[in-house]
Amino acid sequence: MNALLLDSSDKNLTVGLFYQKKMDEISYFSWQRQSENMVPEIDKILERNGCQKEELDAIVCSKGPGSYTGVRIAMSIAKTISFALNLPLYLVSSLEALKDGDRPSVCLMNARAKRSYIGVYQGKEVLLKDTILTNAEVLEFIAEHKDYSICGDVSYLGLEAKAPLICANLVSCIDDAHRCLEPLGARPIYLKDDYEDISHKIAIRPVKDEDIPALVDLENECFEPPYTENGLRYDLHENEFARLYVAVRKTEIIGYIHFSITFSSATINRIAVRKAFRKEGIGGLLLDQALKDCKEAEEPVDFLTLEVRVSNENAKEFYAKRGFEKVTIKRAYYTDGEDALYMVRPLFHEQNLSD
Amino acid sequence: MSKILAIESSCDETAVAITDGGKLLANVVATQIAVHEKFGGVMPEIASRLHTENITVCLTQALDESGLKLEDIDAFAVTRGPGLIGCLHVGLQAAKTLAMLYHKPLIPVHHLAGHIYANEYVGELKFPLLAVVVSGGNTELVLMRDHMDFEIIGETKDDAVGECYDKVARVLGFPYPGGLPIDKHSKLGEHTYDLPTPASPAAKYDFSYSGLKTSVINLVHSLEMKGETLRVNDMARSFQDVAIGMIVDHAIEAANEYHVAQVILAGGVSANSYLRSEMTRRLESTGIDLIIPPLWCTTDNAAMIAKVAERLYDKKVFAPLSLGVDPNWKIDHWNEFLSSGKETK
Repeated sequence: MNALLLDSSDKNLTVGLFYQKKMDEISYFSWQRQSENMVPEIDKILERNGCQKEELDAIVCSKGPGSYTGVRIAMSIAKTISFALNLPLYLVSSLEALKDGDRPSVCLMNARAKRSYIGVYQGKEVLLKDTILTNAEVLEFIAEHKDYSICGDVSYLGLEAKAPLICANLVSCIDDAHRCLEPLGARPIYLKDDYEDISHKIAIRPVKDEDIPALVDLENECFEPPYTENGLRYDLHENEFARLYVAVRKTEIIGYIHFSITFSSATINRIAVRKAFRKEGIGGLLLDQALKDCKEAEEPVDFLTLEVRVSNENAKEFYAKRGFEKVTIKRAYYTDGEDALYMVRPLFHEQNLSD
Repeated sequence: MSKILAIESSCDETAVAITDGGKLLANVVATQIAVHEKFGGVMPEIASRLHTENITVCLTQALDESGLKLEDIDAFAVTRGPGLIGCLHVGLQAAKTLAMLYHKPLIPVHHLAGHIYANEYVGELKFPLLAVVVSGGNTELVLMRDHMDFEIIGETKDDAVGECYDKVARVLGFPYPGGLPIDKHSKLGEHTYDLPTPASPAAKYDFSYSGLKTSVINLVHSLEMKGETLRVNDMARSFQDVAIGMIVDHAIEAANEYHVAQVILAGGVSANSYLRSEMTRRLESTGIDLIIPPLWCTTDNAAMIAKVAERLYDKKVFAPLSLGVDPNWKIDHWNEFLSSGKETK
């Protein structure tokens, strides 16, 4: 069995060749250079072992989770080789590729936003299927399983682990369980952005009085000056135009939206998402709720407007992507003198455009 | 005579084409439009994922159609830019892998050069020529004095014309992509709304579209405030007249100034019927030849990449296997591979 082994799911680039029962490997830090480097390294390793492409029997590739682009690079190459040479393709979790031989292994990779990709393996057995946990949850798991090996680049958790034997692990996965039966349609595992999956876990519901303290925390984290507790209570109970919804993950409030519908137009006053949960589509879910309310309002709502600080690039990009257009700049709109960008999204009622 | 396999994955189409001595043997395009429609535009991460899923399916189909084997191919070509970076990576890996496995040259192709050379499928290029390159990502006037000799004499300073169409379409309630619906609705309307022709930026043949986009939005909004009904067809017509008028005016003036023998249209917006008819009308009986690409060439495909690759193959413009993508690659920079590029082994 001669096999080519590929992994670029994290910051390294690993190319291995298991040829005539011997392992040769090339592995080094190649963050954002994997696209340039991987094919030349494959070329090099085949050549220096005198291995002709016709002698290869299998290709093994890590399939994620990890860096999206990185995972796609190894996967695109592996699929192309499998197609060109008609070779069986084996796909291995990039976490399983980090395991410590046959010992129980907690395999970890930084998923950013204070979270980790985690999978727990013991030999061929999967003790915990690959998933995402907060770093706090991961540390708790580790504390409860002191006898397990910690695997992967865990410096982001303030921990140490020995270097993983990725190529040895990939070779050990040449079996029926890892064989990809449809190599043409093979696709990476991203975990983090199965968009549906994320949106199922987040619930959007109207604000209740007992949520107010959490909203005050959010305000303090996200805005200057923040809305006050009394102001929020007034909007919730007495302001007939204001609508407030929270985004809830498990039992925790991680975001909220505050908007007003005043007859034919609506204004977004706030969209706040806790820092650790940004870039996960939660703002989008909150905005969708506002759009839904506008659509269902008794009087048709034609415009959704908002002001955003001119310096707030993330928010401007968020709104621009979702159909808001820059209309004008409101000078010195904020109390600290900063200008506001006034953005508008027209809302259209089912028009017949089917011709 | 060379057999070329070309791969294009710069935006939302995964495409593979195979040519033999200029003859198109296979032209496979897997479009993602249906997916991106839902988001009102191309989502780069989703596009990159779909390329990864589709790439070898397209390769398989193209080989089947061509009746060739990979061993028969003389060179592997790929779009290395401009485009969406995550998308470009996928096509690049496939092309580099094939070049490595079969020890054949790797040819880096510029996406817009591809759109220009797509016209070779319908007519012979005559120099000097003016290429009007108009798409979702570009608005450029390119002067060519000879094959593969590109000089950009005008370009947009902000939005591309296609991008402007998509945004205006959204404001008017049309689906993505916005070119076709605006074109259709404009035929039902009159130019009744006063939209300012954007002041030309510093350089004579440059374009600016962000002002036009804002004018439409402001006008739509102020009509709303006054409680007036928006006549969607008239707005589409008014917008199209100004947006396309600017391109036609610049192109005709440049064609005259540079005494070109031919004008060619290229890119997604060249499918616009008003642009096609206006260019035809204005160039009639001027002695300047006009090539309008067939509709299949106005969208992204790999056949056009193969056309450029044929030229580069003859010039031995080959890239090393360490080739990377360049999302902002300039059209006249292909010759960086002219001397440094070595044939793959």
